[in-house]
Amino acid sequence: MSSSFSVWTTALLTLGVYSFLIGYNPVFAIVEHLFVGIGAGYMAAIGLQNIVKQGFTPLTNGNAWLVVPIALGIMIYARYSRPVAWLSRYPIAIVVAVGSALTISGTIQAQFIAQIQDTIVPLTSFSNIVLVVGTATTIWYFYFGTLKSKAAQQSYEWISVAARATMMMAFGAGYTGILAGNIARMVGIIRQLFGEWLHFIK
Amino acid sequence: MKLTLERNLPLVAAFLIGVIIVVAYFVDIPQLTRVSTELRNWAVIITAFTMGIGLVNLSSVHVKRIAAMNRKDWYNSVLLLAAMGTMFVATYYQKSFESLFKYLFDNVYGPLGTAMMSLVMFGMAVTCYRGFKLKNLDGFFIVFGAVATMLGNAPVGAAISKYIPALSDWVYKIPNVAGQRGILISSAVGALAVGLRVLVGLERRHIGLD
Amino acid sequence: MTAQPAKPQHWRRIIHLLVFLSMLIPLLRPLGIPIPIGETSRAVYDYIQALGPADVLLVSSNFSVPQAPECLPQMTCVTLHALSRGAKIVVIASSADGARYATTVTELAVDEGARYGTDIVLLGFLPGEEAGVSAFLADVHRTFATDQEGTPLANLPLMQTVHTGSDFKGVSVTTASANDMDFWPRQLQKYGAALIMASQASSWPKLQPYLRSGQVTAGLNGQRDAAEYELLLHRPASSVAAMDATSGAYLLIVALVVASNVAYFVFERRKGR
Repeated sequence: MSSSFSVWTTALLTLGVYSFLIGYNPVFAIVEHLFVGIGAGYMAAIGLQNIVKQGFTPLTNGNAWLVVPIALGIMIYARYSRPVAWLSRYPIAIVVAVGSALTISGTIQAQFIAQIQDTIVPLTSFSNIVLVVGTATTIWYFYFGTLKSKAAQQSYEWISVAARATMMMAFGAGYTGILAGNIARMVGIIRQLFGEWLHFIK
Repeated sequence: MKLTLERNLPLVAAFLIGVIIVVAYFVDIPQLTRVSTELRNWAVIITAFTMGIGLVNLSSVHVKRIAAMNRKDWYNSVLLLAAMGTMFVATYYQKSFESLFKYLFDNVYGPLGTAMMSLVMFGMAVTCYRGFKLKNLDGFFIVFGAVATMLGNAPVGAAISKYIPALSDWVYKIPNVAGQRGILISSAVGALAVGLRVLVGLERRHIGLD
Repeated sequence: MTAQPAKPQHWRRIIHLLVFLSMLIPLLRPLGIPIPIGETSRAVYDYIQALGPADVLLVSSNFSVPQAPECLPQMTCVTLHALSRGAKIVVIASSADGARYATTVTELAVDEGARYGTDIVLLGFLPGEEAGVSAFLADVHRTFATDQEGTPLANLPLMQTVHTGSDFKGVSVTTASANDMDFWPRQLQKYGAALIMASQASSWPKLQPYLRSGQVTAGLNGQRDAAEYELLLHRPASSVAAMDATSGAYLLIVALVVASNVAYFVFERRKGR
């Protein structure tokens, strides 16, 4: 068994989290609050470091325009006071606008043209046929998949079937990915508990 | 139309800034590019301010809980606030509190986060048993996609048969690409539409207007 | 009518125990299943192997603590491999937790002989996601006046040659966010740098369209590809050690799927007739 304080801390906290498997209990509540508190403190400190590094330091070195984003950033906290909560609309509107503008600028080439170009392949193999038909039917399904008329639904049923088959295989692959991540986490935890802590794993 | 400080001017500011950034992307005018770069740096600074909102919200909620003194688990709120304050100081003054910071991040925060997420594994295994049934065509394809990629994702798949990794690769590269690409293009259309609506002020819910 | 108490679902507890044992047993008694090198990890390896002393690689750390078991080994392998080829590295973090791991990798690189300021520079956390990355690639020195420790970039020899995204030969993003897969190709397309995405396994399916179209040059799929990369570098570490247990877990899951379908076809469908 390890005699390291750090290893014991990690092991006991991990067991505290796993106590959730028998139901929500006071031990789990303690580790949960500890995790949330540490996470929030860390994020706020990192944010403040960046505000000083990218805001206040260049401001004091002569870049006077930085008063504007610093003021806008402080205005976000106006939301906590009802009479001046409207001030927080400015920074939020600006940040969302910047994000939207960047999305609009690059999406046409990155998410449309390049992707559509790569889908235009000769239908000379089973894989290529699956790729083209799968992509086209999936896009069709998103826009027209909920046709109201029964006649239309019956006419285009094969498109729905092809689209759903494609998407189900994609979702199955996605499920595997999520599983893989959780397996990696659990294996790490087992190695930590049974290896570093209890010394059962060499 | 009367432009009000509270309702309209945020949208006007957002429109002007958005247009500058979009035009600067497509048209090469050095002065405009400099302004666009500066505006993006401003967004970086503003975003840094948002990282304190969690701390403010949590402090407000948990201080009220402690002050009310009517909850059995008020000590959890004390623990949360103490942990928050300690980690804030240890992170901001990392040079002076290096070993405390490393201990809290590497031996407390990291393992707790990993353990909490890993709890999902148990639920996922139960879901695999209960949910992955070949009841219909959709069920067949989802099981096929999942099982093919599961065995391909681990060395045991290649040990069982050389065709398993090839099948797994095929699933990732063909039907998965088809499905993901369809979703990608469709959601890109949606993102473009929403982006344009935000810039011209038709979409206002993000700032608390209808 | 009184409500009946819920029946205890012992079968859930049995599955939980089986999951645990399927990973514990291979760790206690390694199975020694060979780990073949796949084309995805080979592609990343070959790209980094081709780098030289004139090349600068941007490494971006963009994952959180729960993804560290998959992503940290990936980032470590890519960074140390690139440094061994003589390439220079600039490290940033696009997530708050990633900043800690960016520091960890930089410290490890310096411990292994890299010269800070000449071979590797750690700029620190870059908030704002796409806006931050866009601003950074447009003007590196405007976004970061100093490195993470506060040293002005003018005092760091490596940063005299890096001013915009065009000065990077390649960008290696280690990410847990599916969002990154949309905005990194969008923002990098005007600069011509190659894009390597080392992702957690759950984001791997979403990366495939970009890999196929060539917008992403190469990628790493979770812990499996991290293990393969460790073997390619002859530095087996945590990812390699986890592979037998991973195989055990997957075999159990497949067995559960098969068992549930056998039970369905033999018992449930018969009941329904």
